[in-house]
Amino acid sequence: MQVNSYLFGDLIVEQEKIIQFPEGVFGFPDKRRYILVEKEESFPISWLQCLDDPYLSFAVINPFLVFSDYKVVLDNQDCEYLELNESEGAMILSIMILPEDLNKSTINLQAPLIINIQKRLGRQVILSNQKYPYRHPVFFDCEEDNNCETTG
Amino acid sequence: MLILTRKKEETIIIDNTIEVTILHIGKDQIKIGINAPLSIPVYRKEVYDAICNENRQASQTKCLDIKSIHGLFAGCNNKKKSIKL
Repeated sequence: MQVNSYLFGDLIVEQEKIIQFPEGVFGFPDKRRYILVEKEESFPISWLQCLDDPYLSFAVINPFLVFSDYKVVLDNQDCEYLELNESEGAMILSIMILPEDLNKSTINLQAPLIINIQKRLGRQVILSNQKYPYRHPVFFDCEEDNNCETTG
Repeated sequence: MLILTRKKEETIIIDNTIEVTILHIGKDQIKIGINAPLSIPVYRKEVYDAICNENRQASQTKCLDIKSIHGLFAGCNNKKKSIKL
């Protein structure tokens, strides 16, 4: 199929690349089919482009690339829902807010997207066992480091 | 809104599948237990609303110079950071 996405123009989508979110994501319950668009020039940020709405896309990132101490503990319900078992690892992505000033970008650590890659099945979960914020700055350390360098 | 009166350890059942039981009644709060099928997620409403709102804001990313992102991370992707709580 083909989707004329707002951010990326025409995208040819192979059927097996489609990721189903049967419940949608929070706030968009009826938007259920997505693809992951990976652009070399925006690495490590990828894009979750909705196929049901060409205007809907989310900037996403592997949260473990940014935060070494991030932990996702899924409850049994989520594992069963996503048909995850020990041999089938899950892909975990966090949605970002990218404002005009990209230095002020934030990452949603409280509600990651969990995707069973083999089954192309996803769900956004709200982590209740950890007190992660849904709006955490991404680049705070860089700024501090830069300050250190300039003052040092 | 349907209003029902329940005592401790009494339950209501919704749509044949969802059971809500009053487990404990305190001074300012009550503890409820919910038995629901896997396909029915249950969240605290204020948390649910906040995450919906966050997703809506995240979906507003429109005009974007994608190339500037790469440079942004290039300066600081050597060392990972700790989450600030």
